Amino acid sequence: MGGLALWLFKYRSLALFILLESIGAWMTFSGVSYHRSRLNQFQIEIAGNYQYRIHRITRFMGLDEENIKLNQEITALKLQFSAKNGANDSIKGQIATSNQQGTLSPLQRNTFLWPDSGILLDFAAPARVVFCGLGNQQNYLLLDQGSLHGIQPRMAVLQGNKIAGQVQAVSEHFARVVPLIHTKMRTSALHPKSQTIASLVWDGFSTRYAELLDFPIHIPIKIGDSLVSSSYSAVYPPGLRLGRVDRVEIIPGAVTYKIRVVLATDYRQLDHVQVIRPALQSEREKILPQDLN
Amino acid sequence: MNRRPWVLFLFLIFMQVSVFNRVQWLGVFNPMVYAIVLLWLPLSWNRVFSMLIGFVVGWWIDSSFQSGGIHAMASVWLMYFKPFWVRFTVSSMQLQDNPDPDLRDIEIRSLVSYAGGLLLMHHTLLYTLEAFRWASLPSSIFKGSINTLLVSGLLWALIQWTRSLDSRKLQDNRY
Repeated sequence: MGGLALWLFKYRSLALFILLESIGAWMTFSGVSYHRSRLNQFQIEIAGNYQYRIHRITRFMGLDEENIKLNQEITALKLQFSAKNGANDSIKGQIATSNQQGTLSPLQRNTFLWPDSGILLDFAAPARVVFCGLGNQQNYLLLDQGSLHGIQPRMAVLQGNKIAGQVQAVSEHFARVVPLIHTKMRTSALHPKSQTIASLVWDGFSTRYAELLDFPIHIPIKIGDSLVSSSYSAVYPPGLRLGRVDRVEIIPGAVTYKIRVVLATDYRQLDHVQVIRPALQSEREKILPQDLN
Repeated sequence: MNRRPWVLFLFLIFMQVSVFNRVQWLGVFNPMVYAIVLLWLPLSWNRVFSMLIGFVVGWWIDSSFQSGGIHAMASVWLMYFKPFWVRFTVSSMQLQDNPDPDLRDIEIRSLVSYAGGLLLMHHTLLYTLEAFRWASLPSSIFKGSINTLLVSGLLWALIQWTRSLDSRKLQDNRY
């Protein structure tokens, strides 16, 4: 107590200054209605801003969980939609006819249409990327779903309608995915405008760009043209987005263009994905020689 | 200390309450001449006492303005910072010779920065407190600057007038 009194005495000018200013402020806010209402407004603004910030932080913290729920819900809705409303009636009709004729195996009878794309699938599940190694020539992704969740090798990994990669190996709880940005990955790409098929490969540099090889020089191609998966691939259903043409170079004497493609999937922002398997994949792979798959 | 024009101080406070409070020309010209009194009070006074005087003067003006306590706050601010401010603006040589210089003894350059600075602070704080919104801060500064010029002009005139009165008194005493 004595210490406090000494301290107050030492700083008596400052203490009195604060005291007198406080009395002045009290007189102003209690005596003048304008200042009182401004103070009320100010308090409401401060409290509102504080609550808004707190709300934003809590909403941001809960965003992760919301995204998981949304991804699961989107996949579930797509499955439900395809089961009830089957967008592509002609394919559905074909399946029904095949079923009646008994030409489909029990496994293949459980096929469904992936909405918005008309792709026939026999498996679809949401997953999340838990590791994304991007600094190497041969990159890998790791998903948080494994064989216990029905994931198997050679399933396609999508981000919406964009191709991210294919499952290479699975454990019980995880799946290893080879993305398009892997130097040993060669993906069959279709140029829809000219219906020309070429090969998409990654040159090992930027994760945003890949090279389109074997595109003949006599076929017109423009910057901005989209590239989708072709029907040649057993892993990826046809028509899924791979990227778009970013740069076209003509090399003197060459019979093909040098084409740079900006990939549809941004691997640096890859988080929620869907793992799918096209219908009849196993039957298709069985009939082809092993080295062509 | 005895050289202060005490009667003038009372007259200025009376003029503030009766005349200058009613001056609101163009919504800008509203000089606070009572600040001259606070400025002119001796520096040698105890700061606690000075602040109390400032508070009482401000409170008196507030009572006539019905403005709560904004004049009291601005006056206490002026009285608290006056001893700090004088060290920055008035030459140390002059303060060594006379630690409690009268405004009439301070050379013109120092007087402009000393009195002008304090008046600007006082007026700006006062108009900011009066408006009490961030959006009005530029207009408060503008209003404070204009009125500081007015009050500074009046202060200069009063200094000249009291100097002439002093010199006349000296002459009368000689004869």
